[in-house]
Amino acid sequence: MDNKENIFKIIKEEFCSLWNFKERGDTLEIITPFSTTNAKFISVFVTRKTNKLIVTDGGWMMGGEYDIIPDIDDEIFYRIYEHYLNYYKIKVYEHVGYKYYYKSIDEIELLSSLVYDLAHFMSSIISVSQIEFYDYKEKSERETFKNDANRFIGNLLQNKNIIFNKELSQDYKAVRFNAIITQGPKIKLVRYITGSTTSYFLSSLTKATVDFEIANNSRFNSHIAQRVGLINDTAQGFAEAHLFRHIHALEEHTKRDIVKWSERDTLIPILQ
Amino acid sequence: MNNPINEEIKNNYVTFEGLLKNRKYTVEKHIYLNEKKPNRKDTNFYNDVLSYKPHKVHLIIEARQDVATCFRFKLRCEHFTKVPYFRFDSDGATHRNINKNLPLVEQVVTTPHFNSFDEDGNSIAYKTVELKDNTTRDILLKDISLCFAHFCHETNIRYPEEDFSEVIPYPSSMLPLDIKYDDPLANVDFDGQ
Repeated sequence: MDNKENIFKIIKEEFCSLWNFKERGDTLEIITPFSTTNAKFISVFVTRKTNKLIVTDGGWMMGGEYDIIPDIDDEIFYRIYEHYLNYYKIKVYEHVGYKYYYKSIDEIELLSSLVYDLAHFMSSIISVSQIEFYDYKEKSERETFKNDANRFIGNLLQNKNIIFNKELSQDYKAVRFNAIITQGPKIKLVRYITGSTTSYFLSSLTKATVDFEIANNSRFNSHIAQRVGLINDTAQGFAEAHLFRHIHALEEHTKRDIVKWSERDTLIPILQ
Repeated sequence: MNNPINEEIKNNYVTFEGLLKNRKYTVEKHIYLNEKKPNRKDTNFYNDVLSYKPHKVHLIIEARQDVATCFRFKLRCEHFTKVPYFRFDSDGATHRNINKNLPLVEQVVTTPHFNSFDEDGNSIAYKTVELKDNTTRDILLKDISLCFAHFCHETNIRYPEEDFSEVIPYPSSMLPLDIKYDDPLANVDFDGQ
């Protein structure tokens, strides 16, 4: 065999040469050797804020910079995501519609450990996001309806005071709504319900019902001005005759009739 | 799992090459980015069809409002393949060209770069001679229209015959004096963490 130490040196040298950087004002972008299964290298950003050193994804992960947006609506994916989030003790900060994943530290000597954790976290999450846990037709149905509904509601409210795909609060992380609209002290919750088959539709409907029930039993109840279940009645899985009991159960918790996508203009007075 | 190979391109590489190399035309001299990208309030957006037969090819341009050097040009032909089949990224994530015959360090392609596909349907990134040269690269990034002309050279797009359209993303007073990559954390305080 060749000189073993030489082999080690070649590998180490090539690995180390993968590190790169870009200066971005007061922030340093570090291009790491950690990569994803869609052939991207992970970048992390290092900056100093009020005496703390912050290592973050810079909002790139949920901003779609890695050509995919992790789907935290997907139950199975969400469990994996939470596992990595907890294991690496990653914190989340939201700011003007961007979601930042980060870790912070006082001492520069410990910075590398944070870069290592965050880069591993991001690489894992982006790679796992490539896996389709639902069948393609269902994933496509949910994505299309989500995009259509987001666009409609965004335009309706001129994208003001609205956050898409957000949890009820930090202590209700598993209770998410597709749109949360803030109007003074009051909030309006919107949940999209769809499915490519009746079974998927039923699952979407049931989960929405439970989440509205939890929201109603939470400390936020008195602040909730409207609860809207937006039903995609154009989806293949929408079979009213099979679903009416579950729709009724949802309406008990939303305290109003469901809104059908084909009659979406009725959302105007509800949300504005 | 999402197939990392683009099967449509792999199985119809001649069509892909035609979409890339055949002459296409923009339909207007000035391309204004009047719309906002859906769900991205900070990004101006343009999406229109090029003059090209027999396929319907969309030209998509995205430009960050606050960062003059952050923009993307994309070509998409939806009935051929869902994803854009060619792209220019001025900024953003570094690409890896996975190739067992290529030393690891040479697999790394930082931005700015072009994104295309090889004959096996793999997504690949590359830098032109102009993008590899830091001086020329900076001249290109300072002027989105100049950079667009470079993109048009790569993709054989013209207006009306041998010239190029101009891209107007924002008032000219906001054109950058120096190349600087945006600080994505300039206004983010992380709650005093």
